[in-house]
Amino acid sequence: MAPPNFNVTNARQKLATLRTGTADPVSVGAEDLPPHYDPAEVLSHGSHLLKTASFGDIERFAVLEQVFVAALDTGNIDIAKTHLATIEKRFPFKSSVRVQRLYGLLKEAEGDFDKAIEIYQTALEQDEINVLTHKRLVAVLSSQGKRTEAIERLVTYVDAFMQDVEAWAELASLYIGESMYQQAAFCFEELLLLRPQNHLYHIRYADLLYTLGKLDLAVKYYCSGLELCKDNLRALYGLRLASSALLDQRSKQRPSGKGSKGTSSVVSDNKNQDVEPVEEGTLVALQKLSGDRLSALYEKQGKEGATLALVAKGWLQCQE
Amino acid sequence: MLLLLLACLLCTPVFSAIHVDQAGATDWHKELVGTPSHVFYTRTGQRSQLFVGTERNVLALISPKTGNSVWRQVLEPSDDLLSVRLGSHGLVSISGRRLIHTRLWDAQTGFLVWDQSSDGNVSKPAADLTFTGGGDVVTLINGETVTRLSGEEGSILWSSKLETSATYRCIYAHGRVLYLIGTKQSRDYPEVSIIQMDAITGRIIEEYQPPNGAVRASEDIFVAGDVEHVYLYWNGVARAYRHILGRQADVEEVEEVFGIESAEIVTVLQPETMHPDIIIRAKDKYLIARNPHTVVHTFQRAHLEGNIFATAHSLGKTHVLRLTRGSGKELRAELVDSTSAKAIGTYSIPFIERMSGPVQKAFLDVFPKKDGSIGFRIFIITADGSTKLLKDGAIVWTKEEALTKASAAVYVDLPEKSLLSQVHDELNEQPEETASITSIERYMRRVRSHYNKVKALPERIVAMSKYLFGSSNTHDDMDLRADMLGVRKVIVFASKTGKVVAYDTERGRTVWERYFGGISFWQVENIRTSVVKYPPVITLVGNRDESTSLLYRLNALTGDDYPGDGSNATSEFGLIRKVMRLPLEEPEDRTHLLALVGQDSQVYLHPDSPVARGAFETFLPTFHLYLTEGVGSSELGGFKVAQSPDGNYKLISTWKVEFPDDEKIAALGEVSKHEHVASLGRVLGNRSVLYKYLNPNLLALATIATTGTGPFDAQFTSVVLLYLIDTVTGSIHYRAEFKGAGHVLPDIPSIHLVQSENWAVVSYWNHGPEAAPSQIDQSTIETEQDLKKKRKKKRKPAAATSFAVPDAKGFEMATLEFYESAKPDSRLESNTFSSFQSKRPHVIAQSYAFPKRINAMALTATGAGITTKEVLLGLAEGHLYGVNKRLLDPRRPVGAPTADEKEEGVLPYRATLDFNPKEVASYHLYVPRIEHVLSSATKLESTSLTIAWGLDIFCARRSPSKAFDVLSEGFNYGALLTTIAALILGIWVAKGMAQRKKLNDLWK
Repeated sequence: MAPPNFNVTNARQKLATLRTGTADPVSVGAEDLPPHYDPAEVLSHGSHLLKTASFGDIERFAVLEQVFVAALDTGNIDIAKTHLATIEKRFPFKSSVRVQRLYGLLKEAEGDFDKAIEIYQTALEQDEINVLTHKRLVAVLSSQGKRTEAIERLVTYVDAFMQDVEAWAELASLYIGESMYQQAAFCFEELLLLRPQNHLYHIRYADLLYTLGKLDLAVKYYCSGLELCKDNLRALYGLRLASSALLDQRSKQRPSGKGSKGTSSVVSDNKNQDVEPVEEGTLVALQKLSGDRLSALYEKQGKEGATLALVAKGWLQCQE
Repeated sequence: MLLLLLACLLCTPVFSAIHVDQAGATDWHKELVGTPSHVFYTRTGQRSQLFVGTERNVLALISPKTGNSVWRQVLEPSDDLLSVRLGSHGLVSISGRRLIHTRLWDAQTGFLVWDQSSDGNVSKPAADLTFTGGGDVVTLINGETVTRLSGEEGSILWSSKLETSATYRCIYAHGRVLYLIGTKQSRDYPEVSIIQMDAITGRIIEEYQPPNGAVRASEDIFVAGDVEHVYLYWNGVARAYRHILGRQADVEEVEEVFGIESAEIVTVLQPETMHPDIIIRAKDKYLIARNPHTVVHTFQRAHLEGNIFATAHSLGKTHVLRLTRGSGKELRAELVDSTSAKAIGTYSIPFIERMSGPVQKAFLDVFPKKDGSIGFRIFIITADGSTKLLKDGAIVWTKEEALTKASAAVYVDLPEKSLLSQVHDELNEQPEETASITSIERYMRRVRSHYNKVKALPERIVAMSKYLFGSSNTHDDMDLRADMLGVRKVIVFASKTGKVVAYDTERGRTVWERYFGGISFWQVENIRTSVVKYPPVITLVGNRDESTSLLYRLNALTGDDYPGDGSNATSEFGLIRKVMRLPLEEPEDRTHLLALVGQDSQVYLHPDSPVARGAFETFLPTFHLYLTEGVGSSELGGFKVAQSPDGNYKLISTWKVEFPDDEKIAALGEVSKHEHVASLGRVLGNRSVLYKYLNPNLLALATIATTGTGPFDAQFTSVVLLYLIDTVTGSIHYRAEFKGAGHVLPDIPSIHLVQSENWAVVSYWNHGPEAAPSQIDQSTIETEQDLKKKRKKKRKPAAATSFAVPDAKGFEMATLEFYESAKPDSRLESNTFSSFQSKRPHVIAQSYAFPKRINAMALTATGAGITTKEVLLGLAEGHLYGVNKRLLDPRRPVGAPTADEKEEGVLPYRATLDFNPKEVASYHLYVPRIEHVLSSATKLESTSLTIAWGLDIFCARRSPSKAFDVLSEGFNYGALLTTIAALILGIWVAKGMAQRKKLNDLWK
């Protein structure tokens, strides 16, 4: 019995797209990409395909795996087990790391995380560069709250796969969870090198710098974030906060010593920082600009955003 | 196709000649003897033999079982067979014109036993011979010389020349006495005249004319020898008479002798018996009578016309056969035992008169069957000149001897398998049709033809594989469809006797045959090819008599009249001189128009319709033609056609070339209408180009001028002149003299000429320098020898001796090539060619001695003209021989070739063309007296289909440049197919393995 809206070609196409993560630019319209992963749909369509359609071996096992994962996602452990048995018949557990990983997934779904971790670890002993198993292991560890172990695993991982953006980002968030901001900032530096066009990394990095008190640099990174993404609200807030904080800091320092006229040569309290400080005039201008932009953005929302605009304005006024 | 090309690269087609097993695979040979004029159907015990002497001067022993000859002796064309008799020693023949040969041939082997020659008299060609005691031969030659020859060795025992005013035609020996029977011209009618002669001494006993001896013609006299007396019968002017030879005044009326009314002697059947059967036609019946007074049998049913009688003596009895015409589809044979005067039976034999004409002569053989009854065979000669053997009410074999007189032939391409014509049908939509049919209908047509193609596909694959594995020749059913290689065609022969026969070129099987009584055909034109959906149509042109020509239109595949309803199939004209196929089509049935030039200088159109006239009139301004009486005349005229006020087309003379009185046209070279020129020029070794002089109106013409009576005359001189004439303007572009050249003998024409593209080849006999005329106008004419001399001068100034005719009598071939300019890379400055502005060509010539006598010369033809041409020669010794044009190249360097010449690949000059047995197209076959050779292109560019005929018919394929587009016979198709199969298998296995590997890697 075919599921509703079932079409062999389309189903195969969709499953393939989900597997590879890229949509065929010719057959898929601009509006419906990337495809939405619906485990229930994958399960029903995939199961039906496995029963009716004739595949080559490569595709058949890929679909089996996909359906297995979808079954786990939807909680159909029994279905998943039968599929896993089919796969295992062809690729024995011992020789195939991939099958071992699928076992790990099954254990995770059953809630036996320790067993899963053990499976992943033995698998990694067999094939230590297996990316997916690595990541899986890190995911299980972090979801189990074993953040330190996760960080440890991930650090060994990024040692080998330093191009992996996802891993760096995960590592950064793990560090942040452990309040190890310095290490997190390092991760973001790697990310900025790998994805310099991504404004979010700039802004997140600026946030971290702000947290670390490197305000000059924070201002600069907020600005570079804004440069990549105009009127980014978070960046504007960050810039406002950072520039205000920096101005405050400067005004506090001025009466205590060094009665200069606020020239740029004044080095902030960050001793080891060889960052050129931002001129005061610029800071003032940036502070004003970010404030103006924020209020302008809120005003643009019209009636719906009226309250929000008021709150924002209030906040801005109290800042001054 | 790709496969073929690929295979071409692999194979090495270096072969000439053929292997033993290839003989007869692609060629066929029909051995013929000619229409028999003398027939001896004899029987000794169980064995019967059929000896024939024919109008084509052939003596042969034919096997009555198969119709093939056991032996045959082909005499020279000028050695006319005058008389043949079968004697106890063998077959004795008298033949010749100026020189009369009496020859004895061994009956069983055909070997010549002895030959005795004597002078002949061309004006009185009659001759007869008889045997006398001891097997000696007595001959009567020219009606005046009687000679007794020893039967053993042919020595002359005595000879006497008659001093008489009478003409004697017949000689009869009776014991010691010889009787000569002839006629003597008196006031109104010739009268029977008789000479009695002593057979031993040759002394004339007496000459007398019996009373009432007036006859209408000498054919009305019959001799009926008996044991005691020799009776002479003749149909007098009013009555028939009988006379006993030797009794001068003893003449009786036949009516009284046999007691019948209004008797007329039909024939005297003279088997090897002493009791000849005399066939007498009475008022309304035929009788068999015997000397002296007996009427043996009266034929019951009265068929007064078309009665043919034959007799046979065997089993100690004499049988007489009467053949009469049944309906148009059968013959009625009545057999009578004349010894015991008993009718044996009446039989009917299927026989279609439309195909061969009525029976002219019949010869009977009677034999006992195993069950004791009597069986008989009849050898018949039909009106068309062909022969058949009938037995047990059926035709055992037919020999188309009429084709020994075939004067013209044409190839007819067979239609493609219906698919092409169907597609053509589909595309060839008439405008009114376009308006009426819907698009669905048109789509349905498309689908239908696709469906048909698919349906024919398995058949095609089977045919293709059959061809590949060499079994294409095994099927015997005749398929009148074109084959893949285009070698299956139909060739239609038309003979001077009115017979038309179509053979398929693949195996030589008869496709159809027809007989047109009394018509002598001289041309066949293919007026519609079979590319379109209609059947191919041919037009036969023949003369009925001195003043009537007829044109017949026939469907070339069936031989039926075209159009089918019989209307307009036959057209009658006054005598026609020339028939030309015009490049114009009748719009309705798409036949080509023919222009006929009548004896009355009028031009007729065939078919003549207002549309045709309209087309012809637009064509007129560019229509030029030339007329000549052909070989032997000394005039050539150019004409154009204009419409006279009464609407007829008249010839208007535009130019005329008259050769001096002693100069006669000896050969005309006419370029084939279907010729294709592949290249405009000839690339030389240094990459420069000599441009060919390609004038489509150029006619090469050879004339001969002789003095004296013959080669043995002291005054004899002979010159062959070669002219190149533009047939539109009549201007002579080139003239060359070949001094000392001519015919071998006046009787043996030896000048042959072929012309193609930009070259011509002429062959002649060189009589040597003593036959060269002494006064030579050297100032104006550049002869071939001059050219040679010039060439020699350039190389070796010392060798510039006076001009010389090669002092070696023999056959020579001269080859001439015409170029636009002597200098390479220079062309005539004009985009279009016009005969009115044409420059003279630059001609290069060379001559070669050829060791064989040539009877006929022709060229091969190929589809695109890329293949080197081959000059096909019919050799007098009975071969079809091919000389490659590369050998007949006038640019062959004399002396050591230069680097450029080596690069170009021209062979160094040698004075002789050697006879290369590998180039004999007819391999070991004896194909005597080839008079015509006709070639046709096939779909294979390398291969030319060639048919030679004259006496025999021989068809072969020629590949002058070797078979470059055909795989060699030994090509291993099996290995090729196995390799392909193995590769496919390998790919399939490897694909599976790669998939497995990939999957395992993914799931590691």
